[in-house]
Amino acid sequence: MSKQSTHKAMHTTMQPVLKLLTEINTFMKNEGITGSITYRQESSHMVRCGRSQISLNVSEEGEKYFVEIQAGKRKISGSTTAQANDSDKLKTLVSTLNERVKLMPEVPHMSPMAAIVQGDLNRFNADGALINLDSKVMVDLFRRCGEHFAHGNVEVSGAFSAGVYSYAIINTLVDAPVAYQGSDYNVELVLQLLDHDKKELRVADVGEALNQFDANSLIKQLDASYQLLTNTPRQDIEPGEYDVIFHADAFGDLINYLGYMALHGETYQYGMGMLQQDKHQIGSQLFGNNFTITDDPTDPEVLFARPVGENGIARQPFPLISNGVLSNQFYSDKDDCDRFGIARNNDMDVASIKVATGNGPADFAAMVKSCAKPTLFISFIHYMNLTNAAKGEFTGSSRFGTFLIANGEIKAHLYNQRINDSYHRIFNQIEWLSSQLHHVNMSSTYGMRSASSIACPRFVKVNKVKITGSSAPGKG
Amino acid sequence: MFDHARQVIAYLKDQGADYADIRIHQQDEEESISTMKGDIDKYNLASKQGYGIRVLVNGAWGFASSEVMTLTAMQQAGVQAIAKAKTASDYIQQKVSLAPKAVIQDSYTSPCQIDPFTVSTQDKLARLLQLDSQLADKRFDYWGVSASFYKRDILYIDSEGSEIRRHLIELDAELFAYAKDQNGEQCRRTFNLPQDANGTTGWENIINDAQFDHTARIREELLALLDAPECEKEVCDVILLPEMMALQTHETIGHALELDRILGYELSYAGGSHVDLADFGQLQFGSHKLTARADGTVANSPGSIGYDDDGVKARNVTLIKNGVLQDAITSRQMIMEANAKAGRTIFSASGATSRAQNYSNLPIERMNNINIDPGQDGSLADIIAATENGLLMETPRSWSIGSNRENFHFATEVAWKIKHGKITHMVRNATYRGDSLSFWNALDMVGDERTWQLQPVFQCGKGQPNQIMRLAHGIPACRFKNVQVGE
Ligand SMILES: [Zn+2]
Repeated sequence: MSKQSTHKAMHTTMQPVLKLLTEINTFMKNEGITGSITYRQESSHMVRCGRSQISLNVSEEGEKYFVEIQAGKRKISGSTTAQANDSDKLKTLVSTLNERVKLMPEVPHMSPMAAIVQGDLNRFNADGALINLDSKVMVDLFRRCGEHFAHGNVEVSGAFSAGVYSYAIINTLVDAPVAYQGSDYNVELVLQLLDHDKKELRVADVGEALNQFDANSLIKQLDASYQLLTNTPRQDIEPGEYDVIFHADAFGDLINYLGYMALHGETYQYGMGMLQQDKHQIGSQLFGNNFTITDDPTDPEVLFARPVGENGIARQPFPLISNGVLSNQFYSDKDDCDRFGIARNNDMDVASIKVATGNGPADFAAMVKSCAKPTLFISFIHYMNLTNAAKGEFTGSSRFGTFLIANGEIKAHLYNQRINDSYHRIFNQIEWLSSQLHHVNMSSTYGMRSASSIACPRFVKVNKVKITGSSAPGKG
Repeated sequence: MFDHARQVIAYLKDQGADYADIRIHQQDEEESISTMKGDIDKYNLASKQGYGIRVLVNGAWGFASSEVMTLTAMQQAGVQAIAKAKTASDYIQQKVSLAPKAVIQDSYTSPCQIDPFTVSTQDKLARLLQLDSQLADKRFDYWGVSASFYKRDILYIDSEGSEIRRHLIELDAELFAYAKDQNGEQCRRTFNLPQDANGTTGWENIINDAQFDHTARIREELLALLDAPECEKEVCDVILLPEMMALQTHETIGHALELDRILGYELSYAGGSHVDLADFGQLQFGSHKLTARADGTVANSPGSIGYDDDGVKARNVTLIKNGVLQDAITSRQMIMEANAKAGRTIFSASGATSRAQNYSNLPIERMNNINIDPGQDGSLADIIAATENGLLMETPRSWSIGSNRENFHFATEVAWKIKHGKITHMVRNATYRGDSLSFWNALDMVGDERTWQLQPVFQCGKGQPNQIMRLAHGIPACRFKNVQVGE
């Protein structure tokens, strides 16, 4: 899963789009309209497996144009599906919006539209092998997995998504669009062990190019977990506080929520996150000093690095949490920023978040060996949600293999454990972070494709995590 | 467009499809308006057009979608779907077969008095700003109204001869207000405009003056919440009002009873279900006071669309009768598979719940209106009066559910403490949790028709690619015994 750094040829469909954006921008200028046009495109393939068979093999092609018009302190937006030869359709949308913007009441705090960034910023990073992907590659992974575990009474399931996505932006204060095109795949492979109390296990992978995908490695990882699950007894524990080692898939999910709760500037301004303006500001020590997060599009260790946001703002190295201290927050949305009189500084939607590694164990065996005292290993958090956003409190349940480790060995396979804790406590109680980096997929499959991942240490140990219940019968 | 669609289906049969259908969104419009603190915060018009083609070849599904509306492009997408089905058939254990259904030529139109797309922009803005002004209070940080209007014209044709046209209009609107409590932490009250199950779905809902009762109530409740004490940890009875009952029903009955999920098709993402095929006809899912249904025939609801995306006419299916599990949320494919797996006929016909969010999605089992029958335990006042030590809870704030829907943890926006049959005071940050089956078996009072309301849900997510679905829950107020709260 190493980063691909070679720049690839632009997908042939992009050139007519850039021409169309320029044409519509000129049309708007000639009509005396102030506004912007954003293009988004996806070409997605997905194969899904359940009950050890392919349940879905789909492709999706989508192209959308988003138009925003600002007339003084009045604003309106609209979107339409269109192809690159549909300039009349876009002109009609522009005209409709331009008529209707006059009906919008003035918004006193609205600032003038700003120019989007210009320069040598176009990036065409899509992998040709993912553009024209044969779904056989995806189906084969599940088939091979089924064959590998044919000796056990297991059901194979999972999802494999791959595709290409593009965006381009122009506005009437500039002459040239800025464009990005990327590709990604993400896959999750799950086994349910029918002869072992329906225990579940999972492996996942994310990457930018098809040659980073390694089916053998995924099946091998799954096999290792399979051995663990079939050779350990199922057990339950009493609710209480436990030291927990989170796998990157679980820790990445905690970081993703932390992003919204603490690093999202608009959320902070609205008071909807876990930080209160009178108690927490830029420069405040929020978390333990072993905890550092960055968003750096120039970092070779992150995936999907984009030099310009979908909002047309240039992206630079952006420290977020430095040794526990809040360094920056994302301000991406013009309407929200105008409300608070703040300038935009980034685009959180395309951020490439990385949590700095530490000196903790690099691999699974070393991680297990490091636990002398009873410690829980949580590989994944299912259905996290905020029980009290203002306090940073959340809940979620462990899934896909929760283990009790003690005396340097795995003692038992636990039922799924419910966590009720707060992000303040979790990120202040990190004992160590693994020295190895791992990429966790953060792309949702809802809406148009836009790849996202978090790079974080393979394992993170947190002290005194609150466990309040489990999936053992009668313990909910 | 019907001609194009017919030609494409005939072409795909020629190309080797054993079954084919096409769904064309000829028109798909969304107008969204939101206000905040007396300003128009967003005004957006979105329009899209496209189609999805689904085929069965060698017993496997293939699906492709496109937005290029020419016959040639449709044929190309169809050929792509056939290729996908052939590839998928490399790894199947059991060929897909579809339960019989009637061949239908029909159309369905949402009941609507005033099409929101015919109302002038000025009138819409003025009305929403008027509602916004009713929510204002000097102690509040933010308040407003957000409303979305949807209009879709969908053609469906399949190779079995069905041709169905649907004109759907939906309206989703929410009131919201946020303020900081005595500790400087944010509290909120929100309200989704409920829809009258026997009413209509258009702009008439927004100009109904009853909405001013809701703006006043939301404002007053948030003001009271700011100075209310925190919910204490204890085990007590809980009375769930309809918004909270909708969540409880949605998460622990609805999702748990989707047949694709029970069979294991959602395992890698959303999870499985604690319900097994062997449980149908046997399992005491809840107390004898619980009767639940998947009712696609409710006159007015975002979950009522006439026909599902398999072309099956909406039905009213009893899921749980007097506490005993009877049926599931089903489609043509899944009932055949489940019956074969169980070796008996559990499901006699599709429940007509196969739905796709968009033309770009393959339809899967989705809730339509997952309702609970009203009971005979009187009005809300009667239930409160009969409660010695309890909490009355309303409006979901957060939800987290075990991967097999076996347990849950829910937080609410507002709650009231009940002692000796009377409400004593409001509490904030109330939460409760439980095991799904024991919770439903602890149901001991079900309110009558006066407490029954239809709660629309516009944000139910399921599947990969993830699809957001519109539906509703018609539910009464209910009481559950001995529930863990405040943890
Ligand atoms: Zn849902």
